[in-house]
Amino acid sequence: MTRYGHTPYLQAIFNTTRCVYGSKSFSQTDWEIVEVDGNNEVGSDDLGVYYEAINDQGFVRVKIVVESTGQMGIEDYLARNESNEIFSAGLVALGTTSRIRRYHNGQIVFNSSENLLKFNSELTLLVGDLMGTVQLEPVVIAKIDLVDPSNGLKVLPGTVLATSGSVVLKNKPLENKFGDLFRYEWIEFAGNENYKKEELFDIDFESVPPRILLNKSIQNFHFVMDKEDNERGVQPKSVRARRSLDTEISASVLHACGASVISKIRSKAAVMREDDPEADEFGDIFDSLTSNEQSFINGFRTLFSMDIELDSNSQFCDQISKASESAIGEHLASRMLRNIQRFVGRENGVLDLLDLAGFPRD
Amino acid sequence: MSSADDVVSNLRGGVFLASAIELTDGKTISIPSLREFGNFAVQAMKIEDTDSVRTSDIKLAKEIHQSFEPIRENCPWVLNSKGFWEWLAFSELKEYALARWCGGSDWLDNSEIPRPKDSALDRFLMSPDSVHSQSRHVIRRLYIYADCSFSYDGTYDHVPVILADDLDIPGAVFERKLGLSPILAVSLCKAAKNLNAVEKTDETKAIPARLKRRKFFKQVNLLVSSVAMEFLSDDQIDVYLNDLVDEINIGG
Repeated sequence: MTRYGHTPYLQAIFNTTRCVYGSKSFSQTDWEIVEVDGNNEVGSDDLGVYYEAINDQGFVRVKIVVESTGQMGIEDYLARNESNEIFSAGLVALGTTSRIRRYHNGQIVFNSSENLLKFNSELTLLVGDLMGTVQLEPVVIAKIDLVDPSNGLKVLPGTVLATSGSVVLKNKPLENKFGDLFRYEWIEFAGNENYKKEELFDIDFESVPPRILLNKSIQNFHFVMDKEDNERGVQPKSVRARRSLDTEISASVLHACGASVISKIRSKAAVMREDDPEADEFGDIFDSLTSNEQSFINGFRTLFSMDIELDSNSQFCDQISKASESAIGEHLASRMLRNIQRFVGRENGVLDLLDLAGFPRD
Repeated sequence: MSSADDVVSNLRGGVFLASAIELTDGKTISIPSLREFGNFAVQAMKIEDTDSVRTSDIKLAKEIHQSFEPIRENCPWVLNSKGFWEWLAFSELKEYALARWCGGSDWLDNSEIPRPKDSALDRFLMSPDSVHSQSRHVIRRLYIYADCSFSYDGTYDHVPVILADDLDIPGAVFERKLGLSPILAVSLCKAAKNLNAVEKTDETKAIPARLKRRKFFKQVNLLVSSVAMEFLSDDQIDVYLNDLVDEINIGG
């Protein structure tokens, strides 16, 4: 399910119910369910739980419970293989920040009356031990040499026969919506040596959250956009004109963000090549980007990518790193720009950007 | 300003101040100063002599890991802190870091000496969520190697295996998620050492060890996409990895 990339052995995918419980004690069984709002911004098959939800309720331990529902898709192995002790079931835990890569045993039993396998796995973790993103992937593994019932091929011990959606414990990203990613400030560009007086805006990616600096020196821009002035009785320009300006600014902001992120990825790739001229994998660059930059890629990968709709942020970083200078230049000037213009032209929430800055909306 | 520029600025400014770590209950925890270890490593290292660099790294890795025992016991979250590792690099073990990766510190004061490569300066910074960044950091990499060996069997006996003559090996293991499992990491380092260069003969072309290892790690990545190595014992892992090594050595 989450094993992206080459998959030489076809794994079955089974459905599960996944619950996360919290306890305020280190030893009592006072488990309460941790309420999950939506899927918390992880893959649609995965269950995401933010540490914020766990910490806010004062839990010191969490218990993850995963149970299969229905057929698992590997029942036929039992008919082709003599022993019943052929499977191991459990959770593979992977965490890059806390440096975890472990297998936690669960249970799998065959229910002959219903003719199906039942998967069950429970894992209790101390909240204090959890850092960064921790992924728990339910898996069923071949314990011994097996024969694949579908094609008669030999399957070696350790092979993942079946997998299901993961439970992902993670920090809440800075924000989820595009507009929420920014803080807005009106400043006078005129007389400021860092800006040209006719520039509409600038983006400060270094601050957290990133800032959009709007040029107060451009009078009409300010009159049209500044809510305070409108509240003081200055009439806004027509809605159509403002909408047009909204779209233009939104597109420019998105483009500037995309270009900045792409430039950062390529600069990191250049450093990797400097160190190892034969380096040919750049997907991990994503993990070394700031949370601001990761948020942009998460939200707008399809607009920023070059050729195809990519499945993962790592693939995006890899693709951008491997592209030639000319291809990147052309991408920034044409394809990416067109993608963004099409995107902001639709009613899709990007226009909220200006509302969040305190701008009036029709 | 690039990240390398930031590093230079921090190295010149010395803005990182040492302080005790304050825990949430108001208590503090302190660790012995590492400066002495760092200075000893600087004296023992001759940067052109890879053996002396390797020996110094192995010794320092063990000393750092031993020194951090109170942190592991009382506040392991500190080991995830970007600020902690960067403080070590810019302050506590600055001289070691500069000697090991930047050819010393003279270039900081003498503009006629060229600045080190950006890839070397980037090693002073760390992104806590990135295994790549963790394992390239001037100090954290040593801790990771020592911790891997210690987690494997409670000794530091495997640090010399990990810090092999060819630093491509720990790079290939620990800059990827393969290095998160101590058993897998130690097994990989052992297996990769068995991939040696083939010298040119009348019948065959020369094959550098690096090329073979690159092929090996590609095969390993393919393997772990379908096999849960976390489930296997060290013996079972060795069988898988040695099969790959044999295949590559025979295949040439």
